[in-house]
Amino acid sequence: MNREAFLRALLPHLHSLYSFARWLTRDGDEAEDIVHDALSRVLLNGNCNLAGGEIRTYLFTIIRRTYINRLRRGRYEATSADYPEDDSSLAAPSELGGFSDLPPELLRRDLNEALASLHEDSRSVVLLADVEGFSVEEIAQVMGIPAGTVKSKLWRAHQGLRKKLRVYQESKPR
Amino acid sequence: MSQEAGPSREPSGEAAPHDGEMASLVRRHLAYHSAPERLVDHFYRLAEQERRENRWQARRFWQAGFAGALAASLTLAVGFFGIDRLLDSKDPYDLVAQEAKTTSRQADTFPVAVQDRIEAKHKARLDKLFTTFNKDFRYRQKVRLSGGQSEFVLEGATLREVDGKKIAHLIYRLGETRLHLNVIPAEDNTEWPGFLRHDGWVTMNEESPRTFVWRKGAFIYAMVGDLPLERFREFSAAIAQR
Repeated sequence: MNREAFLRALLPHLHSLYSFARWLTRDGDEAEDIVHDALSRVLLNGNCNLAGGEIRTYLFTIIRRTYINRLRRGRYEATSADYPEDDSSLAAPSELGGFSDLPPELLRRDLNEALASLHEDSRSVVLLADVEGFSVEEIAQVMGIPAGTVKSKLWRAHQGLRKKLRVYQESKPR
Repeated sequence: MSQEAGPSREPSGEAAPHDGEMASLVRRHLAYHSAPERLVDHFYRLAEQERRENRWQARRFWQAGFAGALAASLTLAVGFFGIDRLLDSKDPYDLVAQEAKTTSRQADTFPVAVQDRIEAKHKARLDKLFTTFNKDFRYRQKVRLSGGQSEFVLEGATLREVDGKKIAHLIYRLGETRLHLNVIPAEDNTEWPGFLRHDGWVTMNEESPRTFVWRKGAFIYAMVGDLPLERFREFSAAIAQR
């Protein structure tokens, strides 16, 4: 894939990449900067030799890698998971009930707040799986972790969201 | 700018195991942020330039036989309309590129216009010149490209002001090849570099003279000269690595 093909292939993914970066940084300007920086580096360094099917995974990988590099340099404050890492302490979905009775606007607000408060890893897994529709293998590639870890992280992240949503529902005035 | 999450595509491998209800909630209710227009525009612009670059390279081979006729046509066009009118554009990149071309054309064509050029060997005078330009700017007297064989040497430099903006003009030479490097402070320069907020470079013009415009830190660079694209990139990278 030459530079022109690479550029043409990345254009349809710009909004998704930006949204992903924005969810990671929780800042519009930083997200724009990350997308611009990550893609410009690829173009400048000529690392465009990818097969067509690989590009989407590759693009999300470099966006996340750029974010992590900046995170390590202390540019952002990482959020930390405040739900237990041990699966056994999390209730199964059926025990917690559904959310269909909530007004959509409240559900949306609480869900966005809940996701924003998750640990970066968990947030990434949820975004990649549920929003972007990546497979386990693709998420493992983007995040550089084993597929089994992706599965457990996604399960825990969903349960973490579920738990946070219940807390929001119980604590916030409607 | 945000909206609800867009539809996800079909996974190409094993679907991620999930809490189905929660995954569905996320998909339906999570805020989906659309990329700013300037970011999208930037990459569309790059893609278009790359396409033109490739097309030009392909065409160049086939059009070699028509080069003479083309040159004559261009000469006539310039005579009738003037080069400035031909290059006229409201694009911020183009404005920077146009100024760079004007500077280089003057330097190459009208020696009187560069009579204030300071020879690079007078380093103390150069240092003083660039201190008045911007204390953050550090020029290079020699720019070595990869392989160590090609070394551009600073031949001279001038400082001038256009629309209240200081522009440093540096002339590098490698054998018979001249490169004109124009440097413009990016700060408070809202009129020209509206699209150059981020670091990055873009090919402005594929035909002679080739022009590159890029932004690095506090400065906008515009380089003019007939050099293969890859060498151009190397030169811009070498200048930026400080």
